[in-house]
Amino acid sequence: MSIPLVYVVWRAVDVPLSDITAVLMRPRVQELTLNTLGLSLAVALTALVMGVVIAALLSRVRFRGASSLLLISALPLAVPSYLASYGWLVAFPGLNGFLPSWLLLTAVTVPYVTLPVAAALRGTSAEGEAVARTLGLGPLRAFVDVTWPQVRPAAVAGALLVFLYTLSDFGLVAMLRFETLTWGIQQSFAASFDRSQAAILALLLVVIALVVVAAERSARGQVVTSRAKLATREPVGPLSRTLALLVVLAPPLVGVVAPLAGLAARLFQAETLRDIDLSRLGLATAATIGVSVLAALVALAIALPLAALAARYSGRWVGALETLGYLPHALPGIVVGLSLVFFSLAVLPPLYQTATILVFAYAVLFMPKALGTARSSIEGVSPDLVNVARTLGARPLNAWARVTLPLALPGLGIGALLVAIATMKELPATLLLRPTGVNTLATELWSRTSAGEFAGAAPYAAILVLVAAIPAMILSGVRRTAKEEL
Amino acid sequence: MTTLGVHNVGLTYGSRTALSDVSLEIPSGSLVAILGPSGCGKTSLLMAIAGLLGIDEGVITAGHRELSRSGKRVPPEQRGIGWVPQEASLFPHLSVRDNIGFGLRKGRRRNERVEELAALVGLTGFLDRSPGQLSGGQAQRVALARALAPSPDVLLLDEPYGALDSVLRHTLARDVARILREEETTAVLVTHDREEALDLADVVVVMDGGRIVQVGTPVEVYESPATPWVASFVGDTVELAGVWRHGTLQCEQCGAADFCEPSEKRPGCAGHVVCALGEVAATAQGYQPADGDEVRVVVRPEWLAPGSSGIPATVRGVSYAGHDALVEFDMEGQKERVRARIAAPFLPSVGQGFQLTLRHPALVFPLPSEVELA
Amino acid sequence: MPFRVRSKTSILLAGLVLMATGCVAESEPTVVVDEVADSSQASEDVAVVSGSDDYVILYSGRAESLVQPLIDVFTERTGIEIDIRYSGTSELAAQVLEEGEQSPAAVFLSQDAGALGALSDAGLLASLPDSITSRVDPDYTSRDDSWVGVTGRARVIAYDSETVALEDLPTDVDEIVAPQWSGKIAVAPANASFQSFVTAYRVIRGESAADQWVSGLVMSDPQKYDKNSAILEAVEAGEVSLGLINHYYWYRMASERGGDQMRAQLYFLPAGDPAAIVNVTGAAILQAQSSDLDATALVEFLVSDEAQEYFVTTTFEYPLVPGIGAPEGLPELSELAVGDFDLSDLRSIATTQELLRNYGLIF
Repeated sequence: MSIPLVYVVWRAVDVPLSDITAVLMRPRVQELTLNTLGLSLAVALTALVMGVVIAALLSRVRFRGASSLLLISALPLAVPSYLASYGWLVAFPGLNGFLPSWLLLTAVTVPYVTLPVAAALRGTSAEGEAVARTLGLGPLRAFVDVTWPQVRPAAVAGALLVFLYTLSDFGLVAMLRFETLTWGIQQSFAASFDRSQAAILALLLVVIALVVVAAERSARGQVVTSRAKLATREPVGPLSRTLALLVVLAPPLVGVVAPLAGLAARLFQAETLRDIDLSRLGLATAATIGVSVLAALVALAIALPLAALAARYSGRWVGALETLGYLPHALPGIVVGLSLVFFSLAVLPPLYQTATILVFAYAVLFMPKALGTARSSIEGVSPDLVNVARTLGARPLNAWARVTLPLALPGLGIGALLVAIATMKELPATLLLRPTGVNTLATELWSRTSAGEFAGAAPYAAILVLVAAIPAMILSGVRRTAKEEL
Repeated sequence: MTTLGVHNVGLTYGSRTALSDVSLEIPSGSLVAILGPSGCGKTSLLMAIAGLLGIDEGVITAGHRELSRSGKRVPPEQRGIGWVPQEASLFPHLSVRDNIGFGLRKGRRRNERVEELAALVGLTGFLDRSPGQLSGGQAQRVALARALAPSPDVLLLDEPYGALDSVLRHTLARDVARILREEETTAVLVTHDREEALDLADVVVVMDGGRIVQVGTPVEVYESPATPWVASFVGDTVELAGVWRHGTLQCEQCGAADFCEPSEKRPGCAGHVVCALGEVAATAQGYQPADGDEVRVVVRPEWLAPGSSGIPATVRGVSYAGHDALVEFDMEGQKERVRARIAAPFLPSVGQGFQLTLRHPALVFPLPSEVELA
Repeated sequence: MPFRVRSKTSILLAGLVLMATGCVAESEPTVVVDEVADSSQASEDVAVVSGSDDYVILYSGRAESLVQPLIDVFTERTGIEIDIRYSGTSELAAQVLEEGEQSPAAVFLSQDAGALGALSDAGLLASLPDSITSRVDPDYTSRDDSWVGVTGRARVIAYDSETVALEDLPTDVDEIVAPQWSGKIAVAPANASFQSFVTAYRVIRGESAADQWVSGLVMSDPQKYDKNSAILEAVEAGEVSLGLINHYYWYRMASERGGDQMRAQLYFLPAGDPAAIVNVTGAAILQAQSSDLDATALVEFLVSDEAQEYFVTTTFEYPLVPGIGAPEGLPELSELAVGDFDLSDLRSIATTQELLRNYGLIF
């Protein structure tokens, strides 16, 4: 789990201190750092606001087909960021810079906030808000003063994931030509073959991530377990409802519909349409599903003990471990991939370029996605229940397995699904570590687009979004049943 | 069957002291009620006995076996002590049957025992329901059955009837007490409801601020409270100022000498006191006041009765409770008001005049010290 | 709960599939002795002696759709199974650098010379035998026999035919940075082919002139892209007027959309101009596998007449073996600029990068 970090430090340590400072002092590096910070903060903030607003709208406004709206709002998760930017570039080739990067990244990451906040809202009692209303507060004030503090931990945790995602994203910003630290890292590898310089920049990313993760832990607040009572839905005029609908649908439109439309347009533009090799498509799909399921399980296995510790104890060591778990998420895929090349060749050469090390890489990369939900779902189990189990004769581990685990399972399932989706979309580490000859949908998509075969790429893109959409939709559904059962 | 012993137990949460020098003997087979206001430490005591909390000072024993000591704790699962928490806390992912059977080993015997217990608590047809489908009272009964299933030596109940309405509370509490007696289970019941404690318990332990203030039978605690605070916590009181005089007194007001005769069993010395009610018989609770000392006088409303002779008083307010009323009186020439309990159906109205007499020696306590007042 | 059941069965399924695909990918093929013995087309290239296990792992920075058919021919011909790992050239180079001597790859097929130079500098490449190096024009291959050039790509200008008239096109590289093109030029400064061009400029016209040119470029507010293909797309969309790319990208797009229908058209600068140099793709054998005869056979095949013809007809790239004609419609290789500089000289590339970095064109 700390392998990428060890690797980055190892490579950076090779460099004399004077060189490190020289690199860091370079105005371009400072420019890249500012770009990275600016974009990540901007995206995290907008995703936070939008996510909370959408979740609130979905739970408080009476929509027709409300459950399918939640499903749809989860769809942007299924679209890889590079696909989103690619699709938009088809329609607007001149698109570049900060603004499009900001908007597109927000569109594809909003669900990271929406889904947990929607789940948290279902678990909160609307009574407090109702009381506040009788005391004279308007609906907005009531929400902000009463309900927001209860959903804050979920919202902030989601925003953290968005921040780390943006920090490490390469595909989208490269295509939109917005130069960030990940771009700098890529340049160091590609243009200068300078791995030490790349390591220094990666270290910068880690430092930024460290600061933000620490900040999130203090902003987290307490998880409140309360009896869920159904919230009253506000009656809302048709104009407001339409407006609300537009807000809810905005991210899926921008992040899913538009890029896919762009890709479809490409399909029709091409004069040469290669025959779709169905067996190849099938194999890639099977491989994609296979690794993502395994990665989800492994990530969960790693996250579970960590989350269990973090939920019960708040000592410094546990906090440090949790933070450590988040950091690799800030690194771009190529760095994580290379770190595992280094690691597996050093420690377990026979495992190099096997499915095992690939699944392990995914687990390392995406475990943080499972960590947050795992922790909060374990925290959500009342300690009274475990205490009762112990007085009934169950030893601590036994009580944990028979009581805490089954009750936390829906939340753990959510974490696993998030990891699965991220794995399906992953590209750079996959290219480095996959067994030679094995392809996932993402690598097939990449090899076609980089060879200019857009027509051939389209079916892979479509299947990729389709396959990733399945866990995304389960995600919005599972949360619903989970909360209602509890 | 063993006696549960708590010896000089102390427990601190960071800077807060939850328990301080608590000592208690819980005889086997008895039902002990721990009574006290919120935050007095009763839940902490319970959890310490259950082994869910460790203690910092003192020892907890079961017979000769040491259960808890500073730094050493027999884990809860090895104590054979059952626990019914405040909120039933049924396992939401298990059926009623599996909840009740949670602490039992798998086997044929298990099913039999589960059904036995379900019948005991009156929930035979409910075994396959899930906890979400039960009412508050039903959930509490399942929690009780669950705790009883492994036949524990001791059962701890933490305000188990808190969430229920008063009628249900009452019937359920009596049912539970009956079941516990039938099963010969030692029980410790934590409650802030004085009526419950007085009705059901063999021994009442009154706690405040992490300390035990008084231990005794319900009658002892009610009739001979150790402090005015205990007195007011366990029942209604009327407090007056008074001056202590040595020597027993014939109770002229009540007319019958034996009512005023202090019983040898009562603590404190007998004497009389001059107060708003006149010169009345009194017992000093647990100490020896000097002649002429200013004292606090406490009487219970039901000890005041209207009669043909006594202090003239006028009705100022009536607090109706159906079976009786708490009537507030102004006494002629006195600033302090008293309340008396008048049984129905002869209820007075405001403005009526009566003559009040005291039918029971008053309780006398020292004045609050500077420390207490501060 | 339905959720549980679904996950259990899909785990099983996924696990089985993964194991299946993993097995397929990793299993070493048995030596197909029969095929070789019976084949009447056994090429002289094949030597079934010790040092040959009929299996090679190839790292290819070139696309699968291009490389796979060619390799399939090789395999059919020789019976040598090739497992190919496809990725980006620089990512693969970084991977090989990281793998070091433990790299499972035997042959490295690169999109540009720089990557090969990096590997050579790290001491990871084997010296190629004469039979390979002698086949290729010495101007377009390594100086130290560590790699061999396979195909060539000419630097050209793609221009927006709708807004730019033929007469207005620059006839010299210096004219590219003229004010009239301000804001309308597209370059990919991070791309190896662009950097080779700037290196050529430095060598041909001198350091100070190169410095002036780069500063002039920056002042004319160029649009920066990561890849040549992106530049071509931009020209095709009318976003920019001029784009500095490699020639074959245009031909590739033309094969999909029809050259006559395209808005972007190609223009070759006169021979001798630094902006008209030829870059190369190349192949090398990794030092750790230098005794693998199959690897040698593969690289020999890449510079064989057959393979060269294949590249000409499939990607419209220049062959580097004398005697094979240039792609139709393109000027002959001999007519294009040749500079006296080592395409893979990383030290020289590093100086170019320093120059570009000073002016903020690259990081």
